[in-house]
Amino acid sequence: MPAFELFQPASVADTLGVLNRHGADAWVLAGGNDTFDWLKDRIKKPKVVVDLSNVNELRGIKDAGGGLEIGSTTTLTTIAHDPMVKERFPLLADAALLVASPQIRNVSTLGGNVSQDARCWYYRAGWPCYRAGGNICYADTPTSINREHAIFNADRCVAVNPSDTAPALMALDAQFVIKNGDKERVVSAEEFFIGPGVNITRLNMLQPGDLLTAIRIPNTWAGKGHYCEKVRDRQVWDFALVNIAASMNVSGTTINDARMVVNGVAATPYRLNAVEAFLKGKPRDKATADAAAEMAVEGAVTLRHNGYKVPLMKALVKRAIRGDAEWTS
Amino acid sequence: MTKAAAAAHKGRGLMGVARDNLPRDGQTYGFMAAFAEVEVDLETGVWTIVDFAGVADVGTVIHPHSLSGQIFGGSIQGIGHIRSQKLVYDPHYGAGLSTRLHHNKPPTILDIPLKAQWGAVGLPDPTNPVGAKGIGEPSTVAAGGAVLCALADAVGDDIIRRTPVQPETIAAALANGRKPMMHNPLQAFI
Repeated sequence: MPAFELFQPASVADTLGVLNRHGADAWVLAGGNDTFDWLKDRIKKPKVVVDLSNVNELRGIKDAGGGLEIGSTTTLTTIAHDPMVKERFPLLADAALLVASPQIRNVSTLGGNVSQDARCWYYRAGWPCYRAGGNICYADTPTSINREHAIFNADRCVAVNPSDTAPALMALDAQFVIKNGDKERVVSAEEFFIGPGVNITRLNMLQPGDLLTAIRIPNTWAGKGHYCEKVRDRQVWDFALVNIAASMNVSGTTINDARMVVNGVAATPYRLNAVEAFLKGKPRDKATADAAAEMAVEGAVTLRHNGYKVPLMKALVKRAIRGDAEWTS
Repeated sequence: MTKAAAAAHKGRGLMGVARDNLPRDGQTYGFMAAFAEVEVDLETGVWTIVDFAGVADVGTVIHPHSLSGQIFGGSIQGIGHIRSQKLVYDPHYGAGLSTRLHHNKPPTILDIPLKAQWGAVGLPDPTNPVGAKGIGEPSTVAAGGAVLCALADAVGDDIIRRTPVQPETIAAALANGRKPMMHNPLQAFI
């Protein structure tokens, strides 16, 4: 690993002080599962690393202000097994259990999982592409191996957002609390995740000096129906090919309201706005599911090797509406 | 070859080397037969091995527990070849892309058959007094082949043209009127 100056602050205030002093030179370290790949391959060489493991204020889940507030360095294992999360927001508990492997979940944090960087293998291997500050995309060519890349909103970069908790949080109307110096701001998931059109070098809007301190989930979808599924090559320690997270407010067999978010298909978690509007008041049946699936994939632009994401995404949308694998035709 | 190998270590310490003088009549092979049952999710292409059995012909079984480890271990390796393992490089630049284990995707504990049994034929091999033969590689190929045959039986052998049988191999083919994903000759993994 390249040499760096290591800070291990014990409070949020101290952390913000260090981040402000070092600005763009500082790299925030939580669980380390994204960080260590970059450091050990010596592709990213931050001068300063700020380790959050001693900042106890950032850990924990509390009932606060009409919802839950989850500290950003709470581990995924803690979240998946927390009674309040399981009771009110089982979608998040289920999504957290889909991440990586048990060992990784034991040290991975929610904040880290949502702010993790793209896994495009050209970018991760250090090739000087747009996302790395260069002038080319290696994945979007006729010969590239782009099986895992995006089918929506490409805009010069076809990497996808790899997080499993991000679509669940978006489907729960979560808010992200960010501190910088003595300022605090709260943004929605849609504002937190950014596409290449906004900033091609980042998947989220955190700037130097920013610290994601907590994620708040309002009680809007507490106790409502949910569905999440992750399709991957092997059943553990694998990123999603496509995954879906949905919250649904259902009365009998009628859908009153829904949130549906798909990841692995764009640089941001892809919210199915048109499908959500369409589902209001519709019956939960095959005709609705089929129509919603067609609507969901409209506008998809496939690459050489990722055309399968279109039928796969349709299948997941249908299953989210059905709520289980009842109909197999 | 034994003499050459022993000579290479000359001067390093005390060594004893022995070789039998048993008569040899032909070649000796270990064999394995494998059986697999798979369940395929036709919408997503994700498949699960619900039952598996591997029966080996290793002559006299010397250490049953160790043999079961070899049968299951080799089988999982072969299953990994069918399910997820691949070495990928960019065909334009010739650079390796699957540089980490999570790109290469060896099988994990959640990819193994839900039920599995092993057995051995137990017929002593006539070419040596112990009657034992080897095991190691046969299980890899047998298990992989069995799973691939089971997949072909489940979805039809016209849509699987390549391993690993990734989810899209089945899902995309079924969504496209059973047109298999084709690869050019000598095209490497994607």
